[in-house]
Amino acid sequence: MLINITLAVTMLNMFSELLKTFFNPHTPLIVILLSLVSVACLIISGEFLVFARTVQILTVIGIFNFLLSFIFAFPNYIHIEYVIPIFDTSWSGFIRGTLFMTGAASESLLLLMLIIKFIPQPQKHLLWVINGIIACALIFSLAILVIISMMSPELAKRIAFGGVNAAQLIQIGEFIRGLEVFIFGTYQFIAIGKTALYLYCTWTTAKKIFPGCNAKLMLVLAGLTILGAALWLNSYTKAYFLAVNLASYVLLPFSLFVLLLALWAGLKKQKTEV
Amino acid sequence: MNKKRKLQKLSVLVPEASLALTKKRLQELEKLTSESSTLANSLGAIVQKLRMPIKSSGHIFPTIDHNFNFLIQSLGTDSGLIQKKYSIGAANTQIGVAYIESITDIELISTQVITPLLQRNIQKKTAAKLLEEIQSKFIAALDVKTAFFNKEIPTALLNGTTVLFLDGVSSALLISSRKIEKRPISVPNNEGTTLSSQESFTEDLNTNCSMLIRRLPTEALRFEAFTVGTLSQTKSKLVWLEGITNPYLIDEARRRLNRIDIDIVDGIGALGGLISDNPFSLFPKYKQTQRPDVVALSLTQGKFAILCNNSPFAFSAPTGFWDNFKTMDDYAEQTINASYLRLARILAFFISIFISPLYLAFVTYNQIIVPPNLAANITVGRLGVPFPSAVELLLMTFIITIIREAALRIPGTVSYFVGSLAAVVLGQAVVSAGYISASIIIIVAVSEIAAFAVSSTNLVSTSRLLNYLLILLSGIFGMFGLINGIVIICWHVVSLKSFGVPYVYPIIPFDSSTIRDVFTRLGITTNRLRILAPFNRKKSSTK
Repeated sequence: MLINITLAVTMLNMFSELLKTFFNPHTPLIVILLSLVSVACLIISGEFLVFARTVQILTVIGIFNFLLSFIFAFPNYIHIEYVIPIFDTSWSGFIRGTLFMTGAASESLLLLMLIIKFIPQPQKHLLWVINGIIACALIFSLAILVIISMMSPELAKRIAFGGVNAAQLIQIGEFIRGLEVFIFGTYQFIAIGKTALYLYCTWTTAKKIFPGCNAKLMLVLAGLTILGAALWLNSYTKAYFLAVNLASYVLLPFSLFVLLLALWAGLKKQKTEV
Repeated sequence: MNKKRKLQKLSVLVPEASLALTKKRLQELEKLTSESSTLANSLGAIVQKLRMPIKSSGHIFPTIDHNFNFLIQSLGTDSGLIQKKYSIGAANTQIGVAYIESITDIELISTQVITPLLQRNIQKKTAAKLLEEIQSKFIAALDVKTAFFNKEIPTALLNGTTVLFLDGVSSALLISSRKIEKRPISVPNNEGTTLSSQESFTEDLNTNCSMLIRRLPTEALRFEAFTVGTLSQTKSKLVWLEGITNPYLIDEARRRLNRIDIDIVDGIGALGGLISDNPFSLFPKYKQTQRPDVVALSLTQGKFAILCNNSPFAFSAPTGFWDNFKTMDDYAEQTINASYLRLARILAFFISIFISPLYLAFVTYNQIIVPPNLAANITVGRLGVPFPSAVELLLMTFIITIIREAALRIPGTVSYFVGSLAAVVLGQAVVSAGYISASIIIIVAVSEIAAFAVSSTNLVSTSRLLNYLLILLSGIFGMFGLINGIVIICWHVVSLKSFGVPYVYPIIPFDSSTIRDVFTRLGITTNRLRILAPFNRKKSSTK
């Protein structure tokens, strides 16, 4: 539960900083956080299937929006020479990079662990999970490649909100400009989706810890806890630091552990069947 | 002495002022009031019962006079009830004929019932046998039934049936003689097309059924009759194709129709509201169409339809979000043209919802996206305008709704005048007077016109109301609010179902086999949707 709260807090702080820096500098932080947490609470308040389908539709719109905006970067703003050196790496670097990218969906594994017992035949749907992780890694890699090809690896490494900054560079003629407004939409979808996911995990855990309590009340309390913690942290730098540490030392090993566990379970089942 | 007297209780001096006595009398009064109230209620119930039309559950009286008296008591004297006695045959047997003048085809009764009875020679027989002979030999009308109970007679008369009593017989003949006043089949004004059929449903249920049978002359076509509305007794029919439509869907429709408990159902709109899912949602979960060809096509896709007497519309369900963008012209046009037009309609719907809030977000919070020349024009246009852009947009959107409603309600050619007056004169005047900027007029006009490009009239109001919500959100938060609004709308849309079928199916959940007929119309799809027709998916194999 604490991991999920912390993850939600980091996500909320990083996104609200993006919003305040680029678009709504005068909107109070509490209003931004309250809106995000309220929307997250709303989309998880119904059936789980509805939440999953909402995420599905937002993912499609988000990817479409991202690609449609960055299509204007071709060919003027894409520098292939920025990308080529990335591939000049050692095997260990490649493996580390691949592992990091596959770990991008590691939070989803937290949710998967929660819902696994409600899936009728989880072995049958193992391929979906693997496909999802690979698709997620590919999409994130592609997005990062686009950003790097526009800004160079050095610059991309040193700035926050790469996508928004890269989109800011695009200007074609008089009318195509300010595309960061649209890219921001994809960032917001990710922020709401991830916050909802963490909130769902927190809520479900809370329901298990305090059985018999009113579920909707628990959801509101979980939302308020996350909101309070995000307001208390109130710092992009601290949130970023927390996120990096959590990703490197908790989530990535955790996702690897879960995948290895699933692999071991699968192999054991195969042996038993033989 | 005086002092002592002053200190005494009032009840000692005046016994009637005793508190205990007052309480006792009050209780007696309450008891009396309660008894009176009970008595009044009982009397009221008796009066109400006496005023109610007589509902006899007994057999039909053997004498004509008793039956005529019963009908007068049931229907009153001024309902247009005509009762007449005739003597027929050599034995001068008495017959009584009753009908309601306004809804009965008197010509039919005269030529096919009364004249043959009066003119032909009828042998002397027992009364019961005579009635049988009248039914089988003398009445040329097709639909003749025998009634044995009194309670059947008033209902039959109110449905345009003529009742024939025979003296000495405790049954009567019900001769169908309804005079049907119906308008001819006309052009579907609400759902105009250029290349498809120009027929629309009428208010007559049988005519509407005949239009469907003409389009689908197959034994798989099924009709099931229902009567809804305890007072209106509205006849309606559930229609589906046996072997194609998911039987669970039909069971669900049947269950919902049987569940209706209301006094009046006046048309498909009222019926749809009673049986559709989530009635408080903005999105239409059923299609209300004037076109028999649309219903016939939907039946072949595995949907069901409901036709209702007195309504020139049909109810078609399950209806998904994407069905609102399909027209019959799509299937009559060439593939590329049809796909282009369908995409244009889908885009028009999204433009109608998003153009105003996007404009608002761009001019108030996210100006970076607006090109400098355009920004300068917008700024010049706003000089002197007293309202913030959000208020301007909300005001104009609301005014356009008022104009639209006024133009719709004003009769005939006056509506064109009001429309022109509002669009040209009022639009020009508010800009000249500096109340509203010109760019707002353009944005609102585009949004409103785009809303009407959608083929479903039900979705027009949806787009307008979503427009208000998003204008409010983007007026408060800019793009951040707009995207929050989009998330909420997406969540709401995916949570909706139409008779158990997800509203955005086949996109979510994804069904690749029929995707060619969603955003585009690329060729003729050979498969039906999995949820709608799970046991007969191949279109060509249908017999």
